[in-house]
Amino acid sequence: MNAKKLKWHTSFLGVLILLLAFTQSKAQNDRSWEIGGYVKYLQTVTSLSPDSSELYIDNLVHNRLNFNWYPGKNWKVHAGMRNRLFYGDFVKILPGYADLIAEDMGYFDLTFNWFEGDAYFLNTTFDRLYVDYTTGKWQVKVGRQRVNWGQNLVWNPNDVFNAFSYFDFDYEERPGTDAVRIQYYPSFTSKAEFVYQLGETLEESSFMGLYRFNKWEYDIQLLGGYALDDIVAGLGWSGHIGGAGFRGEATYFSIPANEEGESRDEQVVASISGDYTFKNSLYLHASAIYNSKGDTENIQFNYLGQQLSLSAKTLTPSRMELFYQMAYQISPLFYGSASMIYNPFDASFFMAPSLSVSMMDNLELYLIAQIFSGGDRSQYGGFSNLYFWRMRWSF
Amino acid sequence: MKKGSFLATAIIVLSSWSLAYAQDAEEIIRQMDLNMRGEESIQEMEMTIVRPTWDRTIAMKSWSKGQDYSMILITEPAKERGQAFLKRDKEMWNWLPSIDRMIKIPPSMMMQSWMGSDFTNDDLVRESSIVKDFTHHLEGEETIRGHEAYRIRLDPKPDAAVVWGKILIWVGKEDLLELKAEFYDEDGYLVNTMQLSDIREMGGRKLPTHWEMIPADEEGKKTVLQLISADFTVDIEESFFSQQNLKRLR
Repeated sequence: MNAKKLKWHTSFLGVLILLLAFTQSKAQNDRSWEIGGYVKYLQTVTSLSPDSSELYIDNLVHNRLNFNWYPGKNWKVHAGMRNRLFYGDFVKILPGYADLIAEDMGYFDLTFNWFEGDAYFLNTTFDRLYVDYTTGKWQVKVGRQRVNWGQNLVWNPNDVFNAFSYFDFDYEERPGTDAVRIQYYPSFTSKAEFVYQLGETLEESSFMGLYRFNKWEYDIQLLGGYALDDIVAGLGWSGHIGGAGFRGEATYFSIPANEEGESRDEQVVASISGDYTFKNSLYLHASAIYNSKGDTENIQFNYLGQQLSLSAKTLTPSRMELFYQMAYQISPLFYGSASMIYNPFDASFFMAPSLSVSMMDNLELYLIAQIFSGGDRSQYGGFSNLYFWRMRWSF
Repeated sequence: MKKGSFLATAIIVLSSWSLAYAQDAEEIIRQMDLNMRGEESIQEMEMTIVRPTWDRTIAMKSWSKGQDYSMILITEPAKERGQAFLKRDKEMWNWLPSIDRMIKIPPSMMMQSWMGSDFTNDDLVRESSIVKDFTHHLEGEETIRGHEAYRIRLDPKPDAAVVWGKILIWVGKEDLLELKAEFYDEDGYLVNTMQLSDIREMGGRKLPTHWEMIPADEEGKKTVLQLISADFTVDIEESFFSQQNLKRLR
């Protein structure tokens, strides 16, 4: 299948050169071009077991370039390029790690490794590459883009195109989808859209519609269609109760149970959340997710697999999970947060305390730990803790 | 010549007389609010959070129409560039282009400090109205940095969603422009002092272009809002303030 995908690697070199050339033009405030991005360095420290003092160190140097070109009043061309240099212990010990990262999950193959060694490799991927045309109330977007239908902030059952993993905190932009997307805005606060996700076969394609409107100070959305061989219908909302935010999403999937699609299976994934910000900036957030296909015992959790091939149907392997978060702006420079995901069936949990520090106007230090705890055969039991520190320079 | 200047003086005297006595405190505030804000405007500004050992700057562009409609586009720092906010009546949305996400902002988040500064979201999009949500009393006259000014006390109306217990505003007599404001909490303690200076002609209007918000009892701390450019002559349709346009601001 990979061989059939379009190989655009050589043209990427051209785009890269273009991007670098136009880095200069930003300073001159040329209105038809924009470029921005960041360079990040992330170090991961893993202790495989609490008894062992052996630590595994991994490093990621990560450059992102966001590029906008406005060829005319109604036109926009956007490219989002991700260049990542991986090196460290896991690159060495995980078989096929470099190949896994070089795999492009989309219709077009816009991902490749420049070089690979025993303990390092350099990867480039375009997770955005689209043309956007607006005329009147219509907007047409063609290419690799993020179609984000989520309403909640942690689990998004409505996000049928680009489900994201809460554990993958370093990928803020989240993946894109190769699609043709037509949006129509009937009023100032409503929209209707149709998305065709490109696939080589019908089973690998999606045809979905969404209508979002604003009523009673709520954003309410209805969605439905055919997605990757499933028949899908969903509902989502964002509103408030008093001062607190109140959001929810539910998606129903009708899944072919056998190869011929003769009998069908059903699945419902739903999430709900509330958050409140106090006057002193203390932020509290709670959420729950339900998965009708989830397990209540012997729950299998795969940290890396969860991040690499996630869908709205696999947001959680458990029947239910609960999320809590507390965050506080300690000072304009320091932002602290602690979040927790708890499995009520086996009482195992995941915890992530974090601190972000503004070092200079465009330089940020971020510290985060991912702590897993639980008994044998529990969702988060027996998993090693991860500790990260990251520097980010944005431009 | 002499006659002309006499006439001018007479007009100034008469108009200030009429302002002081014929207009009540509410009218002064209403007029000041109009002068400060303008019905429709496009503005570019820079906000600097100043602390004794460091400072951070945020730059933005804003579009507004009256009290009910506004949009803000963040242009600096780089990490937040492209983020935009839309306010329509009581509702507010935040557009995050990097993840293609429109987030509806709940009311409690409106009172949160604006990106860690001494301003709140509310100060910037002005959810509460200094005209409609308060009763106004003319307390006296003082001189602020060489300008003669009315001192007006604002008390929140019982049903108004206002965070302050009381606000004192000094309004320049000459131009009816805000020169200073003091914000008190519900227990009567001073929380913030705002100083407005550098009165200049900009975008077809005369107004203070340098605003400083100074928290009480906190030595060396302040947030400075500097107006870079402004246009008060624009004609912006209500339809401009849409989610579709929010995504296209630049």
